[in-house]
Amino acid sequence: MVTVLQTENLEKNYMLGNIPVHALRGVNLEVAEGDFVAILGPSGSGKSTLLNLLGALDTPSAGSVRIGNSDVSVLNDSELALLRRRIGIVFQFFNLVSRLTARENVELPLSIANFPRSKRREIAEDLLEMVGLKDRMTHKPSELSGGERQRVAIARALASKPQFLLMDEPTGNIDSKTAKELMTLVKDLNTKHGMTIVMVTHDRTMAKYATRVLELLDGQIKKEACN
Amino acid sequence: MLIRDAFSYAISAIKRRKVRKGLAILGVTIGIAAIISIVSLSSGFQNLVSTQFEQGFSSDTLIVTTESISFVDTESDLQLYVNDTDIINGIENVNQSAALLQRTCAIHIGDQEYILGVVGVDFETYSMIFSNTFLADSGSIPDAPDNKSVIIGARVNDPWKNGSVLTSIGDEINITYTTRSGFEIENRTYTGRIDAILGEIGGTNIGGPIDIGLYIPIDTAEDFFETDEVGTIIVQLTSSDEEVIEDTSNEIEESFGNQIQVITPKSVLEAISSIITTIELFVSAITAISLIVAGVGIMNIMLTSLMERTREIGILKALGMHNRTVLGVFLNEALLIGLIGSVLGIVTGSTLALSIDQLGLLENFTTGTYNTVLGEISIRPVFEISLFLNSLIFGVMISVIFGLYPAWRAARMEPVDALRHE
Ligand SMILES: Nc1ncnc2c1ncn2[C@@H]1O[C@H](COP(=O)(O)OP(=O)(O)OP(=O)(O)O)[C@@H](O)[C@H]1O
Ligand SMILES: [Mg+2]
Repeated sequence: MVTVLQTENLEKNYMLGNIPVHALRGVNLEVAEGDFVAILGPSGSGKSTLLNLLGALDTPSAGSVRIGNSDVSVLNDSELALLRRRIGIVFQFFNLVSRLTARENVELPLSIANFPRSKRREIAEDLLEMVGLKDRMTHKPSELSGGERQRVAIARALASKPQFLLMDEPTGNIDSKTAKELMTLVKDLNTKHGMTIVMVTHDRTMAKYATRVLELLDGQIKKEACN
Repeated sequence: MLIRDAFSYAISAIKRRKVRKGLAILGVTIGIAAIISIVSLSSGFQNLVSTQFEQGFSSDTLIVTTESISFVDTESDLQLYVNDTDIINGIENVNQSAALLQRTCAIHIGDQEYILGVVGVDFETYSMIFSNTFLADSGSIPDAPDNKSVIIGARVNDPWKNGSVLTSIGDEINITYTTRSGFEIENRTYTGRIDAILGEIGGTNIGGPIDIGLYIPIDTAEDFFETDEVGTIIVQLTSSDEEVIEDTSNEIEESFGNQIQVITPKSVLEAISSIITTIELFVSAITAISLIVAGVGIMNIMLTSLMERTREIGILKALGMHNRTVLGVFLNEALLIGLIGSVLGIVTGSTLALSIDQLGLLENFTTGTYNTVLGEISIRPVFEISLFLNSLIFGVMISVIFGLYPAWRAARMEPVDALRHE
């Protein structure tokens, strides 16, 4: 079993004026290759905070995050940038670049990683086809539905062939029918392509698609269940 | 990110905020256009000075005058008289000299009336000193002029430069001098005869004949104007050696108790170039300020777009963009603004300078000096490749320098903070 992600006593505190907010209070977590982990928790439990730390976008107040075999806290800005290219991340609020088309959004991580134009295009088109947006390539995010935007975000996250995929509330802003279709797609990614996935959600029905479900409450993991 | 991709990314960002980025570009355009038009016209002016003045003013000629070419010195009350040429001719190294007795008169020629400077001068000496310019195109300069002899410049006879001449040799010309005796205003008129029309001189000619000049014998002038006071005496030396010029002009000044001015070709050029330098300095200061204003505008616009695009920066960083690339993306935008603005500014500035020339807007300025020793001059803008290149570099540099701070702020944002930005 290969460990792709590991946290040790991970803590994150925010200061709101003089009052400390303990968003994470010692999270221990290990994700192995091929896992589909759902982190289930109510709003404000620290899910996004945890996911950002796993995505090397934030620095912990205490404890450590290991991605692959590197400790994130010892990396410099440039090494962090390179590390982020190997992580696929889908944000809670799509976070697509509004002036770029769906295809250009998917191409963005490839363009950042210096892929030549034709190669970029090919990969982006394949991925958009895979998520069922073949005929929406040249649409701007504002011309797409919530579910379609989320698919574009997933395609973008997959573009750089990441080692694992992080998803923050992927179904949070779409109706249940569309959410179901999306989760089927995500599930396929895990089962058919062996993609390692960590998904955070407050929705128990979505957590059902995962192979492991961790419950996060007040910044701590309360229990783990297997589906 | 590949450089080409970074550029097309910057272009897409500029396209999105067309009005705002357009205004930033406009700022640069105005600054660069100002530089181009002003510098090209001022080099045109300089060209004019160096070619026309030097050509019209031979280096062995001095001008002795009671007038001061400086704006600050008070003029002396000492007068020069027609016969002072005798004193000057007695000084070593002086070849010959001619007194100019000039008054402003109304001229009737054909059916045309002008106000011109009428110059009384000894034709023989004057034509020897200015042997290249005081030359008759038609008629001839009389060796022994009678008191009706008049010589006119080419432009007096053909004021519109189109060959529709007003008069010909032998025709009459009425010269009216207005003066006062006591409380009475008196109009004195005499009728002269055109003996010679000078060839086209073109340039400016300090002390020398000009195209809009009218010349009568010195004796006639003394009688008509009832004075032998002169403003100017032209002196030709035997040598154009700098030291000779220096010594002789000192000696002339001393013989008039240092109460008069001796203008040397060098001093004229120095005075003019000091004026040009001052103008250029002033203009450069203004354009520099306008470009700094443009730069601040760029900075302002980029900081605003930075706020708007905070999330985008967060996305780019989350997708693994290096800090230096983020810096580059934003600098690229500033660079493009500067580049587009400068190119537009170069086009606008050149068009402006050319249209000022085309519309003859400077003609009034240059021909307004009708009665002075300047004659007719015209300023043509001069465009040099180096002017275009320097303006381009300057415009781009200003944009990039002012874009540096916003770009640096973008580069140093933390991805989580940027993503959380509303
Ligand atoms: N930048 C911040 N400054 C201060 N407090 C913060 C900050 N970010 C998060 N928090 C706090 O940390 C706690 C966890 O926030 P987080 O965004 O991780 O919650 P979440 O589980 O993702 O909630 P949701 O399901 O609503 O997205 C919250 O109480 C929140 O107020
Ligand atoms: Mg959240």
